[in-house]
Amino acid sequence: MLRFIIIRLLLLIPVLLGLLLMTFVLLGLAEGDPAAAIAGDNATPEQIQRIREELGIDKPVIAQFGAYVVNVVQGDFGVSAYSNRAVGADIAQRLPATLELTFVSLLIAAVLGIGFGTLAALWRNSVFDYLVRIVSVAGLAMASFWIAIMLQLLFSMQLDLLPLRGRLPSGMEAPAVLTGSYLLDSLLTGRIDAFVQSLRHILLPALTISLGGIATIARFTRSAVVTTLQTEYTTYEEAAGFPRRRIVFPYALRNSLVTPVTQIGLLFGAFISSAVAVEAVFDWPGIGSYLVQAIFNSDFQAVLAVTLVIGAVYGLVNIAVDLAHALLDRRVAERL
Amino acid sequence: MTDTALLEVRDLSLSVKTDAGVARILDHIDFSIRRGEIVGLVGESGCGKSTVVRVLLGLLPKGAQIDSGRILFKGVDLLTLRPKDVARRIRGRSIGFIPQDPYQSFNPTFTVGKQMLEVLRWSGLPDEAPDTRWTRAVQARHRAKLIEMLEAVNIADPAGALERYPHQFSGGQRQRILIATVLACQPDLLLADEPTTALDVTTQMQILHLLRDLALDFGVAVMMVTHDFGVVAQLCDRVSVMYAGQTVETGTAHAVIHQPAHPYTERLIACHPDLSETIVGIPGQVSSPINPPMGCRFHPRCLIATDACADQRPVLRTLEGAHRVACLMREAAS
Ligand SMILES: Nc1ncnc2c1ncn2[C@@H]1O[C@H](COP(=O)(O)OP(=O)(O)O)[C@@H](O)[C@H]1O
Ligand SMILES: [Mg+2]
Repeated sequence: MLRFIIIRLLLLIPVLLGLLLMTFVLLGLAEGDPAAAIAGDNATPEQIQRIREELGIDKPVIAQFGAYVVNVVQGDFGVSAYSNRAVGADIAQRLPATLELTFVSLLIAAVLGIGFGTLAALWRNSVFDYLVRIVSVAGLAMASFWIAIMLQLLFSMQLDLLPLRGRLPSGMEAPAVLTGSYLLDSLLTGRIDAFVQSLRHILLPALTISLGGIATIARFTRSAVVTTLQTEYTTYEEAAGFPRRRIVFPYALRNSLVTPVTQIGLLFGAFISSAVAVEAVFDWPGIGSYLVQAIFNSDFQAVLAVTLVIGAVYGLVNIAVDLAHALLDRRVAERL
Repeated sequence: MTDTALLEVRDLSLSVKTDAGVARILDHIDFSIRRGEIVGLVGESGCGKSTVVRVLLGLLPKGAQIDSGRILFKGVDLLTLRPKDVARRIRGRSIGFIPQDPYQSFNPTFTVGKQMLEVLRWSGLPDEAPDTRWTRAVQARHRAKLIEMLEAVNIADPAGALERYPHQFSGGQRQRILIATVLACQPDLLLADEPTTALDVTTQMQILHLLRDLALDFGVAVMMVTHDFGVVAQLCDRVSVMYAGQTVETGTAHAVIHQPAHPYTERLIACHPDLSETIVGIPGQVSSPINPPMGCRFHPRCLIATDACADQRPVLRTLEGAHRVACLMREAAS
């Protein structure tokens, strides 16, 4: 198992290098010229050339890439050509907000998806089952920014139940930074008021992001549970006198979780990308809005760094998913 | 061995509504099992043997309906009991089950010990009342009993075996574990649904003999479902032959094998190399329970059938002692 983790972590390195190289080349192909953007409309060609040299973008792409990788390995993500701030510091400040949002969304998607999927399987062809199916299709079909606005209209504007935007009410002091997640930090520091408020604030954006995931996970869970309940070992369990509730939980459910857990790994990527739009709607101070800014400003350093960080988190999440598989199924563990 | 029947299945008919029509899966099934005896339930695949097993366990297929009959178990008609009581008092507790395919019958994601202890949890040891709470002390007793039983079926390192996962055992070992578990509960009746079909030939005989020896030791009656008259010859005291949901012949294993009275029994025995000099298969296949042949269901495949066989359903008639057969040609002959 340890060997597996180490190998997977090592494998992540070439993958991230590849990702970085692709982003590098694509940014080079893109039209925006950061030097021109920084110099402004009235700059002379000489001024632009000088900025180019400062940024190091007058050299061949490969040389630039090499220099960049060397810096990154030393923990230096460079300086934003746009804001002149260290990109690393910007990301450190904004990434936790996005990760908190994404993981809470994953949690909601997993719990509700697995719950609804299991119930739909147990009550196969019931009204509930059809309802889950219809809502699933709808959940997958609707654009997340549109859902976001609808949820805001309903819960914030109409019912006035949940806050409209941000991570905390304005004026409330953020909890001391331990993990970067307001929910965890407020709990760890005993700030119950901050915990309740962050929970209220994260609910709508997280729900928005997770809707598609709930649908996907519910569908996979449903079909897995249905299949498991038709296996011979379920028949054996029935014949041996297990009550229905034990047959379902834990026996059928653990078997059925393998496919939905795979989906959770894949969904993480989708969630990060929908966070970009959702953060904008809910004014969530995360990396999504930062990335959008960076792209508009042709801020290469920022785009590269965000890509790399998200790529790394994605890789880690998928290693975690494989470990979860191994925990669920001993046969998988033996193959690791 | 006493003479009173432990189980009496009388005139049992069952149908299932399907999209294609009503499937008359069991049609006047009739046999009995005495305490401590091993009875074979024989027929080709598709004859309804597993359905009989399910009905005895109180697990009717979805959409199934009992059209006639009684299932007297220790004098009580199981069909009149509430499902709740069958689950609590009968299934697993008085009637145990050994499945057909040990490879598919374990949940792959739990240890053998966890699953088998759960079996004991719901069936209980013989001296435990239903609804005994599953306390640590009870669990420890169950565990000790299970280890003792695993030793009896020759599983090496029984305590270690409980911590292992199903895929770490061979098919034969898994079937031994299932046998050990069900016998730990000491049911009155054990339903073994083709318990060795999924195993290789050498393992088959070992398992069957183990099962017979232990059943005799524990005084457990066994209903041995099989399609193989060789198994009947080796193991069974008595046998009941089924064709397409109908009981066609019952009697002592000896009488039925040496003087088969029903043409189907004859043909089935003729399929077996040890019991017959010339091996001949039975052309055609078991008819579907949806719109089955009228009269005797075997008549389309029967070599001696007459027009009457297509008209009239033969009923079981006694030939001699307990030997009974349902065949019009036999009646005409005698
Ligand atoms: N739930 C069901 N619905 C419809 N037909 C069924 C059902 N269960 C079994 N059958 C049919 O009943 C017949 C007997 O099946 P089964 O009891 O499994 O036979 P066996 O165990 O002798 O092979 C088969 O033709 C099978 O297709
Ligand atoms: Mg069968």
